Parts: sequence; C-alpha cells; structure tokens
Amino acid sequence: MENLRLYYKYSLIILIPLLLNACTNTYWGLIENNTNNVINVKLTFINEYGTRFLELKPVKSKESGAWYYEQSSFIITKIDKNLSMVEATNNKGCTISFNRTAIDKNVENHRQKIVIKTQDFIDACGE
Amino acid sequence: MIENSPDYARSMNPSILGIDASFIYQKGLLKLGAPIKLIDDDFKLVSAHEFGHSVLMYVGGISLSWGHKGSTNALLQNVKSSTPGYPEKGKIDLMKYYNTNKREPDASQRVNDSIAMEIDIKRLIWSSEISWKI
Repeated sequence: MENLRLYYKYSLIILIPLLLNACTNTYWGLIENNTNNVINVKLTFINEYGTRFLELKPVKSKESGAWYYEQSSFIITKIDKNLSMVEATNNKGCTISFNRTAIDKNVENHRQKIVIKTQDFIDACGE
Repeated sequence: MIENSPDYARSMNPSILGIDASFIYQKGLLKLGAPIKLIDDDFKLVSAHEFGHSVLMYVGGISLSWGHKGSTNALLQNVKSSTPGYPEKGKIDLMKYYNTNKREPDASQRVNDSIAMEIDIKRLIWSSEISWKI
C-alpha cells in the first residue's frame, strides 16, 4: 500500500510538468533562399525586452538559414511571434524587407519557413 | 526515436521511476526544408543535453536536473524570469536553458558554442566512482 502511494505521488510529480511542458514548443525558423545568389539576412525581433537584431550567416542559393525559438503552443502562429522584420540583401546590394504582415503572408503555406524568391528582388530593385 | 511530423517533439530524460530517456531525431523537419545538417546537429546537441540529466540527477537530484542548474523552475520546466537570453558570443552551458524572448540564437551558435561546463565534467567523473590509487 505504501509503495502504491509512493508510485502515485511520483507519477503526479512527473505528469504535471510533462503536461505543462507540452504548452511550450520548440521551433526552428527557416529562411529559404530560392534565388540563384547568396543572400545576407537580418532579422528584427521586438517584444517586452526591447528590439534585437540577428544576422544569419550568408545563405547560399537553394539553402536555408535558421534560428531557434520557443513559444507557447497557445500561440496559433508557428512563426516566431517576436519576429517583426526580415531583411535580405543580395550580392548586387539590393535589399528587400518583409514586415510582420508580409511575413505572415509568406508563411501561410509553409508554417515557420519564409521563402525568398528572385522575383522579390526584381520587384524591389528591378532586373 | 524518429519524429516524422514537422512538429518538434521534445526529447526527455526524467531519470525517475525507471522511465527511459527518449532521444528524438526530428526527421520531419525535412518536410519544412530544414537542412539535414541542422537536424543532425540538433539531435547530437539534444542527446548530449539529455545524457547530462543523468549526471545532474545523480549528483544533485531533481532540483539540479529538472531545474537545469537554476535556469528553470524544476516542476514547471519554464524558464525563470531571471534567466538570461543566449549570449552574443562565448560559451553556452549545455545543461542550462536560456530565454529566447531575451535573445534568440542562430542555428549554428547553439551547436558551435555549447559545452559541458567544467563543474559538470567533474560531476561526471565523480559520479563514475573511480577509485584513484596514488
């Protein structure tokens, strides 16, 4: 009987944090470079702690850069809720930027991945 | 274990009641276009972290292990308000949590800069109960 009581006690100790832990999810945010050139990517995050910038390593053509974040599973959006701006610069010095609205539109079909296309640079800077 | 969905599944090592540790390979991230190297590196890093829980549990019990050396609340597992974000540069403690709301790391930073701290290596050596003959 004593053993059973101990079993339930420790089961509760384990189950409670596991259930609560399920409320925080880990994600990899991805920037896919769908152009034919290397791009440099700068991310801007804004939240209650202030504004921060993260420069990813240059992303080669057809490859992806990534960053790591955690957020509550109660937040519906899969893309980092703190991400407010994505700026990408190509080797010709053309910079494109996505604000939060554009980010949300970009990730509509692929969760936490932002795809940057050649057309984005053409739209911004011409050929 | 292999997670085939794009949702990230948490590895764990509660080190209690004989529950086995589970190290999860996030294969499903390929569907999102994540580089295979990122998935491999993440698996190695997380596995090293989970293995470290056995050491921390052995030497310091639940508060040290589940509490991630004071960086999280032991039961809730959430990051404490006093826990800093990932550092701009320098080494990252393999066994601590960091507050990604204060600073997110880029993909390579966690892999390149995470280390088992000296104190934890000493804990590992001590917990092996080696008998030194001088």
